[in-house]
Amino acid sequence: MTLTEPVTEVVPPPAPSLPDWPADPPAVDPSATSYVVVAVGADAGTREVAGAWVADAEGRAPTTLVVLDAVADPRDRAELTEALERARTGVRVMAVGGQHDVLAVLTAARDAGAIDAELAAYCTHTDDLPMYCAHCRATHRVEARPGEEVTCPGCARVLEIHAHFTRALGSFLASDAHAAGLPGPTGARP
Amino acid sequence: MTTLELLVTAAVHPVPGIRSLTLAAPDGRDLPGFVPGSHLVIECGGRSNAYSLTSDGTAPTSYTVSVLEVPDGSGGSRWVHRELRVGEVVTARLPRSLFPPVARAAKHLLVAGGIGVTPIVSHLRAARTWRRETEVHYVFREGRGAHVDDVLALTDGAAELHTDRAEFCARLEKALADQPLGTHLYVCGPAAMIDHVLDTARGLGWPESRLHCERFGLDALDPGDPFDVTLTATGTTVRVPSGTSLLEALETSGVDVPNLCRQGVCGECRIPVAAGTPLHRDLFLTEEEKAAGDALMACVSRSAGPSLEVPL
Amino acid sequence: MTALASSAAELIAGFPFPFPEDRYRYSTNVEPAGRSVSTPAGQWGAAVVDIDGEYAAELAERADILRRDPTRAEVLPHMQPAAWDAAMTLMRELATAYPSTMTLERLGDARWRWTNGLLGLTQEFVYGDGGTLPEEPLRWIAGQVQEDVVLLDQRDQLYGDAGVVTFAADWSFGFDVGMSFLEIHGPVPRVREEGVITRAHEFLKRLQPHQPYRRTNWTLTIGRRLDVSTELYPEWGPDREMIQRVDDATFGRLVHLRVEVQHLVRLPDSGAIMFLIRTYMLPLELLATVESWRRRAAEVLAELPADMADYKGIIKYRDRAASWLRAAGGEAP
Repeated sequence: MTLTEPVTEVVPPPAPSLPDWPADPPAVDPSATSYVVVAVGADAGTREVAGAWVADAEGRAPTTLVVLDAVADPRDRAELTEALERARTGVRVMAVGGQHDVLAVLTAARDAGAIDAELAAYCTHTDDLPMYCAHCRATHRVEARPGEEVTCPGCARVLEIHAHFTRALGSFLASDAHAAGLPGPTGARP
Repeated sequence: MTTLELLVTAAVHPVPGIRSLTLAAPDGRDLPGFVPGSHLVIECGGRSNAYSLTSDGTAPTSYTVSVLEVPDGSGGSRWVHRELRVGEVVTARLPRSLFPPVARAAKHLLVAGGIGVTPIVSHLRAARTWRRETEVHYVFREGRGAHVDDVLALTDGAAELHTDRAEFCARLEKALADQPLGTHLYVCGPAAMIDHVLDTARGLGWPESRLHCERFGLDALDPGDPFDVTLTATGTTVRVPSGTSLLEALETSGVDVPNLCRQGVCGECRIPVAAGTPLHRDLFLTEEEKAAGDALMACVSRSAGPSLEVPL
Repeated sequence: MTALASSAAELIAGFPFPFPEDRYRYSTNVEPAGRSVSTPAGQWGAAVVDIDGEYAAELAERADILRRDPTRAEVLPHMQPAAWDAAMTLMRELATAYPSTMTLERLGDARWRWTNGLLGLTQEFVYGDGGTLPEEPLRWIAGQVQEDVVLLDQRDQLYGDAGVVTFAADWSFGFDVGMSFLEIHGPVPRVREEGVITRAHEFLKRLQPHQPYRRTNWTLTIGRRLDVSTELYPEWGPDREMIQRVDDATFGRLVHLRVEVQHLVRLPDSGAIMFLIRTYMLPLELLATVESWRRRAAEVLAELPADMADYKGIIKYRDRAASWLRAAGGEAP
């Protein structure tokens, strides 16, 4: 008996530095055996998308709806964590809300063991984002977009938000915008 | 160092049809470590066969492999069973890892069929060292289960053993439907069994990247067919034997080709092709460049036909 | 900035001059590790880990940076086996390269004794048992090598899930930890279009144990400053303006060719990839003492396309660096 090398697909994956949000809410993945739909915030757009997902998902497999006011709230956070702990492999987690909140939900799901193929998301807006300050090394919610300058809520430096995003932390890199009259560093290898 | 000389220090028949070999360095020194699920390519009486390592890969002083005799196979396993003796030395390549555990898995669901248990034993040893959560299902023919004692010992008796196919399939379906988020599935065994396990998992919503399998096949190495290459600058013709790369053949005949990685990645050893059809096996050229057929990477690629012409 | 412990002659003799041609482009320039490269001034590359006259000074600087900023070291929980594997692999490499000062002895199945004569250190430990080392294994071994270390976990892609990086050239390990290899390299110009990163990624995924590879990378750095991390940008960023106003002698003393020798090692036990980054720096005034280096570095800097120079952060002074090197050889600038 001998072994052969497994067949590996050599499809170059894209190299995103920014989250790649769909223009429309993604469809419910019919191959799942259960669903967790997470809606953050009370605005009509969020409720509408979550409602449509739940209506479709419930007809296919057991579905849990988790409605949160804010991901940072400890009680809301505990509810999300519990839903993810109950989930079995075969689940699909679908998140809807503003960009900052959706990224927080996706990060929590990844920390709970989920991988990209098990996650779907829709942002009702991209007016805010989680920003990692390279100088005070903390993550803050700011209302700004990559390329813009903001004052760091942690260390009061004026920062430039870079088009450099990490799914692991669910945040964008920001660094001192005025240390020199040059574009800030991009945070990658030279 | 890409080959090892290994002394057969012990050989046993733990169950009918299976011979387990213990191999060590002739001078007793430590052997190269290996990732769980790795295999060893051993020269077996003129053939190269790959066998999963069942021993502990951390700073090992010996390797063990278990060989199932395949009476109508290509002869390698027959040679191990009938010819090879304790005290003899075999030649092997360095262990290769193509079926490793996923470090980030929340849980490891391991499914073995027959002699496919061998890489699973190796996974279980590492899981014990690093206290990884595992669940094991092992299906085998009554009286023919290799490494049953190892599997039970390494799981504190928790491994589920199956000798009834229908019962195994029913249990498997229940197990696949009830795993925590973050579980990875590993399966090794006969092709039909692997297909059944993977299809069941897919049907239960498991994404592809959670599924890992090691299939049995014919040969781990593809030495390629021999061919002739004509150097148009000098008019000489060089034979490229099976198992020798075009790059090696050119170097042997005194033609210098710039090269770095010798794995079809870096692009250094690209050479133009004047006539003939290249058999591309590299990762460097684009699909368009490969289709054009006017260049190839000499370190890994060969000829699709009996001969090539290169303007060197 | 690091105080220099070595002589100029030592720095030049071990310098891994990175340019094989008069023109530089990104490429998957990997080659098998461990082959010694002869240069007009000496040699480099015989070992995977390299100890030179800066050993004590650089280790002290690393310890100081880690004390001030713990985000420079991280081992995500699932990388604990890889961290042990890296520590063991680095001890073996050190013992192989420096047998007169470094030894690794097996005392029992998983029990070992490590001796680092340069640091006067003897440590017995049990592989995999965190309680037998004074600190986390990766941090512990990073205190004994001049290399920065990143460990990549292989899942569907490669993820930089652990490391100790104190000498980053314009990136942030604290931010990049946990990112995929492809995400980390997202901002590098050209490489996506040219497929260099994708090819490197495929190569790394296939890398096997006991067959390490290496490559070089380079940039310019102002002053002998190893830590040019994103975190410290407010400290070193202004140098890029300052350097344009200094006189020629100061320019040649301050501007350094910074070369990284990067080793790529598939760890034999965990299956993670260990990425070692060893940084060498040579000021232009010393570089220019080797005629072939002076001439070639001038050509490369003058020819480098603007987008690449911009990305490397040298666009504002690379022309002057090229002219400086030409003038140092009596050429027309």
